[in-house]
Amino acid sequence: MNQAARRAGAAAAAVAVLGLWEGGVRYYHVPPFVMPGPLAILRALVADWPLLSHGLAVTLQVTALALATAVVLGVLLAVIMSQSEWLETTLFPYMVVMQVTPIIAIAPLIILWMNNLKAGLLLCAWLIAFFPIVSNTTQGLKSADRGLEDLFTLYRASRWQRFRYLRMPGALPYFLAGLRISGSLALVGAVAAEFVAGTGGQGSGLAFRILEAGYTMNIPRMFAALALISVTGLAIHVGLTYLSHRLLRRWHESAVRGDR
Amino acid sequence: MHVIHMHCGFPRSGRRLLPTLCVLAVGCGAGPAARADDLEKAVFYLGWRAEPEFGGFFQALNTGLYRQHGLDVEIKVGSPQTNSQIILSLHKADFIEGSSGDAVNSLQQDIPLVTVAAMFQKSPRVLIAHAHRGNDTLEQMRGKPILIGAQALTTVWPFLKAHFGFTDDQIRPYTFNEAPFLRNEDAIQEGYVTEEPFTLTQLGVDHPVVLLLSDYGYQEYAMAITTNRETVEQRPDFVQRFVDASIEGWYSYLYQDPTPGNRFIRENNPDLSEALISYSIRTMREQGMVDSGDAKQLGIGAMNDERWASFYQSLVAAGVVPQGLDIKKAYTLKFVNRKVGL
Repeated sequence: MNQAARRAGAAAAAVAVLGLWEGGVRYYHVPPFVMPGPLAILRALVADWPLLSHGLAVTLQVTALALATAVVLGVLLAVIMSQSEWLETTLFPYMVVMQVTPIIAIAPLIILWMNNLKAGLLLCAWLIAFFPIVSNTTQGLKSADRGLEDLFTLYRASRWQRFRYLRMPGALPYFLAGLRISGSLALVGAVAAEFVAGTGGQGSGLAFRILEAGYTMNIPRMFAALALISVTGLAIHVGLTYLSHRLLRRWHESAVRGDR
Repeated sequence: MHVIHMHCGFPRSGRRLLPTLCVLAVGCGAGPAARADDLEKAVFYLGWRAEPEFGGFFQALNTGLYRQHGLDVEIKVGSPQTNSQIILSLHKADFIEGSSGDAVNSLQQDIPLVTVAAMFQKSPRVLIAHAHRGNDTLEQMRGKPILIGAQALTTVWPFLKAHFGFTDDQIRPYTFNEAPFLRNEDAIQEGYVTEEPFTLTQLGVDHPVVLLLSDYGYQEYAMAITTNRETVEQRPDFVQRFVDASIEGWYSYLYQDPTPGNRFIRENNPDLSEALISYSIRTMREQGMVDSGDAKQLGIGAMNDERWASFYQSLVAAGVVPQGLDIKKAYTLKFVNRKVGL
């Protein structure tokens, strides 16, 4: 009941914001090529659905592949770094450099270097999705409870047992928090890379549709594409939050509810 | 179509009729330039860096032609990221540089913009290939990879698809970096006739094949002066003086000493080499970019109904815009074809 009321409140707030937006656009006679209202955006979304849904599929493909690669390589690297302080000190600066290099600046070069366009897009998206996973997972792997560490030593646990039964579960909440950040970042990276590549035709993602709509002054379509990206970002976030809840709800403080 | 009057705080209230009339009297003769406080302010937004393709406008500014026509013109250079049509429709500029392609897009989106003069009779867009690689005609380029940017994809690409059988799987991203073209002898890329052929030759490409798309039937008017419909209807004299002075500026830039115009380029885009500037001017002259076709009889800036109609129809045929738009709303011939400067 409480939860239902909360959701209804959030929905009402969203409707109010959209209503204000539509009302403002109408009241001030803002032309749609300057700022379209939600209804104009919805109309564009419906009318251009075949074009936009195709673009969304292309962008999602890059996003999903980038995120998957970021998870696999990120966890692998975190495990390696957590094994030795020396390795961490050596490798971590490169991670930071990768993270702070503006993707927009190097994307044209990456697209140039990679002869395959898909691979170029993927690399760009991966570059910015990678860091939160590595950094969080590394932190998690190092954050096992000292008392439990001592307990494992007392029982003469093997290195593998210590990793499997203590550090890995301990790192899971950290990893999942990183995953949620990376999920959105992979989408941002995919869109940014497509912007730079700017390729049209069959293989064009949502970003090209935004560029194209801008050049042809079809601003409602541009906003429709942006709305799709926003909704996708929300969906990724909600999906990953749900996943995190499922994995942690039995035992982790962040997910265990009530009863206290 | 709705004509929407925006009120964005643009200072139009201070304008008086009297000075305008005085200026007219002075501007028509070869008399002395009008006093500064009699001049009518006009903002011209380029939406691009200062380059020789805009040289005639810079020439009109720096030789005082605009002042002689009673205008205090400010030419604003911009970045390619900004959308000049929106800047114009919000009255943040009085005129922008556009093309008939842009005009059709605005028309389709119900944006009340009007093209009033076309300084380029030919679109400067080209496809460039290496010599002796079997890429000497558009027909031969069919099916081969082409480096092309997002903007060209929305303008010339549909034309190439509709008339020359190009297909989307030929598209390769062009990020305004020449390396992929230099590295691959079979590469084909887009460009401007006034720029890339020269820069690529400087980078060591030997006599590249340069195909000017206007020679292949791409009928876009380029380097066009565009303004708001409201301005055309309410201040026709203001528009006429800007168009006339610009036309005179173009004659002066092409056929007299272009130094005053080039000074503007040097001040605003100092990286551009003198060699490229003179190449661009020579190309505009030799290829008749500005002064050919209708412009020979009617003066620079000339346009005609048939070409607008057939350009629009070619976009319809290419599936880019719908049938049934009233193309005559996108332009007007009343400010050009008056043999100004001839």
